[in-house]
Amino acid sequence: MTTPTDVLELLDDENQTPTAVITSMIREAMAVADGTVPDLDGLREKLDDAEELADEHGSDPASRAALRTVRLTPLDPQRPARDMLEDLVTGIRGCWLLYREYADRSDLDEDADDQAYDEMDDEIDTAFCDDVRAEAAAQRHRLGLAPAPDRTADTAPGHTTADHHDDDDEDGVPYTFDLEADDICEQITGAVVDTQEPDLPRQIIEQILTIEDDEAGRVLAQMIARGLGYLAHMKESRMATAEFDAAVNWVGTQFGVDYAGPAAIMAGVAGHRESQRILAKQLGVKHPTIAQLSDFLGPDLFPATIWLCAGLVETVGDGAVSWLQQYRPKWTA
Amino acid sequence: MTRYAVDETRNALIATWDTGHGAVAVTVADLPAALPSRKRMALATELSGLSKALWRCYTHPASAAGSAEVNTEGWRRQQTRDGFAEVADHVRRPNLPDDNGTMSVSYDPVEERAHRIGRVLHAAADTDLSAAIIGEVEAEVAAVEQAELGDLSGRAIQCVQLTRQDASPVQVAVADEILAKDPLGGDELFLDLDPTAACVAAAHWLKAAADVVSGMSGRPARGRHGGRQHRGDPGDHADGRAGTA
Repeated sequence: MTTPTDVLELLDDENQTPTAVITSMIREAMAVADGTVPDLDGLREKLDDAEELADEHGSDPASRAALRTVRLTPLDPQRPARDMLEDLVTGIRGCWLLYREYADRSDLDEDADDQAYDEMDDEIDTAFCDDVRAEAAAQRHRLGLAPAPDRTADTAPGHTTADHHDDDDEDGVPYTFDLEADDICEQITGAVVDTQEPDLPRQIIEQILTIEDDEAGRVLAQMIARGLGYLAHMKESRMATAEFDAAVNWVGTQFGVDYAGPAAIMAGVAGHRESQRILAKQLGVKHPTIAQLSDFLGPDLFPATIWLCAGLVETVGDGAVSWLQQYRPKWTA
Repeated sequence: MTRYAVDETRNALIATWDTGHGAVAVTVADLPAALPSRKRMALATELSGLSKALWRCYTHPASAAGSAEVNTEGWRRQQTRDGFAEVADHVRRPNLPDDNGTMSVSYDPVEERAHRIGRVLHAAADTDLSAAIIGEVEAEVAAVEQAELGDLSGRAIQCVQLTRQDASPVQVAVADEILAKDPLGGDELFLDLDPTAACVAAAHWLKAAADVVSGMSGRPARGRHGGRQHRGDPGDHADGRAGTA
């Protein structure tokens, strides 16, 4: 079942409305039901991928045949809309399960009884529903059911500025970041390049999380999305493999292998084929979702993006962070 | 779509359609004893065919075809849809063979099915049967029109089993309300709504849920490769907002 992933990718990458994403996928499945192939280029790509996979992993005729199987649509062409609805609801439940896994149960001590656990589970479920409702309400204009928010009007509550002071790090350089600025990722990358301090993005995230504010989660999600936006642009512009190699090598020699690994994974997101292959082996999917990536990298999803960017700035961009600007994602209100 | 069948035990014509869960049937008309079996079957077949053509206008609306230029798919769909008002009239006064044995046949699937029903009724020549069938055809046309407006009451409920190329904003709003009540998706999504519209709303809520989880997983104190949280394993703390919310 790849439908929820496909839908999220289209919503995120192409910035399409839910109506456009859903109706186009459903129309494709209906075309398949009518016996036609709606997307020749997409089919060609699938055929190539299948051949590639079969050549690589098809050790015997049976596995070759299995790998060379191509689906014309991810949906059941007999009943595309209901099939998709089932998949999407399953996807929402998957998020709920992940949320429960991430949830903090530290308030409970070791000998807490079952009832205490049940109550905690109920609280977590309620928190999930509340968080999702808040997020859905904030984006409701995308359904065409509410007017788009006025960007200039929401600066007051949405504008979070975190002063970054390294209280417990004597060598720390005080930096002030406007976390909601368009170029926040460039600012942080610049700071990492200047200070050669790779833990800076980690500290910023910790800093955000200490803010007792419902905005914190949103600001963080926005920063992660902005970071991934650069990688998506790099992927579109098909940056050379050698450039990613150089950047990851730089991160490795400068910061150590613990930083190079996550940076390499983000290079896979940015289109680096070798990293994609590693990613595919580790995660079992070729195009991982944000949820899968963050599951894999944990809290280092955003820092890893910055490490890769810093490596690219140092190697491809001749140390000038302005080089990164060409990949800055464009945000439409 | 509504399917029509001859109930042989009761000598009646019945109509049946799907709902969100199971199918229902109603009696359309008692069949006159004089009507031969082949005519009965023809009546059921043509009525089912008309229903299929009518509901195709719902699942394949002109608005989803792109262009509405003359002789395009969109234009053909609109022509068919524009003919809904005359469907019952075609059943009342079908095209019949003229004195030379020639007869006009429409290229429009809805219109032609209506004429065929009319010809079966013309041959049966039974006023009660004709009145009942015309009433049935009008009810079916009305159900499709009602579904187009996002009202799935009565027999229009059958469209919860159909796949439509477009999403009615009314249905999207209803689905959005259901998900606001229960973000995990209640049964109503599958029982009471057009599935394409429900998918549009569900995609929006899936994205919200994914964003909530991805924002949360950026939190520290969770092992880099993610330790599962188990009951009775308090050594592995995750620093999430949820527990205290």
